[in-house]
Amino acid sequence: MAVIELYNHPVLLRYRASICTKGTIFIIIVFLLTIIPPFFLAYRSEGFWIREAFYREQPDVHFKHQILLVLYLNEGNSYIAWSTYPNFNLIEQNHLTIPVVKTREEDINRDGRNDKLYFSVEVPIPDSKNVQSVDMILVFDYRLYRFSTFHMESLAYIHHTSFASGAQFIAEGDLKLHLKQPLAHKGTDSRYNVPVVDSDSVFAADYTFSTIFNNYISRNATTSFVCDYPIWKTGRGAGQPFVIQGSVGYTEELIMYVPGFWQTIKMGWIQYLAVLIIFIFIMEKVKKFVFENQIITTIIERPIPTKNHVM
Amino acid sequence: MMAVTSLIPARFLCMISHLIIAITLLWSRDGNVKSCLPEDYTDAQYRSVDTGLLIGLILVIVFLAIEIIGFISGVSMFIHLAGLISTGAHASGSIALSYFLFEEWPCYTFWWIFSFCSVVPALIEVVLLIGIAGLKKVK
Repeated sequence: MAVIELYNHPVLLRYRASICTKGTIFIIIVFLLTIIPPFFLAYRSEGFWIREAFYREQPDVHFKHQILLVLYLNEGNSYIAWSTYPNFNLIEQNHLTIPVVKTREEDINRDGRNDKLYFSVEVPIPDSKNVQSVDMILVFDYRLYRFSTFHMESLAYIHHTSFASGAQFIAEGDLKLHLKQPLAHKGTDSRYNVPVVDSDSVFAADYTFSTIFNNYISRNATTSFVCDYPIWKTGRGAGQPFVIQGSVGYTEELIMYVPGFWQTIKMGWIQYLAVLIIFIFIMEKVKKFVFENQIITTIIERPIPTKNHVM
Repeated sequence: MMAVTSLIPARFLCMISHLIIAITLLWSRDGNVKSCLPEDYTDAQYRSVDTGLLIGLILVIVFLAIEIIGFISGVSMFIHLAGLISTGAHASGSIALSYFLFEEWPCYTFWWIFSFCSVVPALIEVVLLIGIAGLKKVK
């Protein structure tokens, strides 16, 4: 009659040696060779400590109803300027023309965050003059919440120059975030929640585009208006205003941030552990081989034999 | 005994693989030499670094030759602890040297690999050779 296996259990052999023996030194070396090389292997293959990571978020953007507008005309150095800043308007009294401004922000997908700003600026221009270039700044309040609470005042620069005298300028584009350094993963970041245009200033120099942009681009986080398809329409009818219209989309942004301590440790640990398991497996085989064959002499302690079974 | 049937071929294979990697490095050491030279190196600089690495590689082969002689002649073939250290050293040495070759590590790392994976087993071998062949120590 065939014999079948009913049950089995492993037998534990103990290999003993005192502290200052080859066996102990061997075990210490094998232990170090098990835990240290996986770290170097994981570290040398790059990406062990993650230094930056990405997330997507739609910013919470609000148009601050601040505009600075300059239109250059075709005769000499003449221009038309208007802004929502009283001091600027006072300085530019001689060139001031009050436009009709219509803006509205729309939350298209009803997720509680604005998706688009529609704007339309109608500037009355005498029929004798023609517009050849548009420079306009729109100011936004820009917030991100997901990791660090980020809050800044940013701008969109809408501009176009044409040799042909224009009747209408249509700019449909998006507000894009530019980060020179990654954001933090926690805390509140309102370093750049400072006015883009210093509206308290009474000096004309503070309202020039060069000063505004010079201060603005020195920030680590900025936004820009990206419009790849500007349309410049010519042929303004008699008595018609020059119209600037378009939209600024607040699109979802891919934001780089510095991961926190636990995220870094977690990713490092995953990589280390993956290599460590292979090393543990190999080193167990080595140890078993060495001790089973008594390449290093140790005292073998066998399990105590039972009374009716002699080992 | 399992020690004889596994450890001896394992040691032989590890030594041979170390030898093959060293010989391969002899032929294509250009990348390693360049990786520890400044961008605007001169021919003299290149030659001095290249000669250093060449000497190191020749030493690796010489030390391996000593060990293989000791091993094949039977001096250290049945001394299992020496065999174990030699197997470990040459196994890690061939892995480290292949990294050195493929990842174009700068040439100073070679001397670390050299000291731990070639000098240590060769020293043990020389001590055994002197002990057994020179001093007629009967084991």
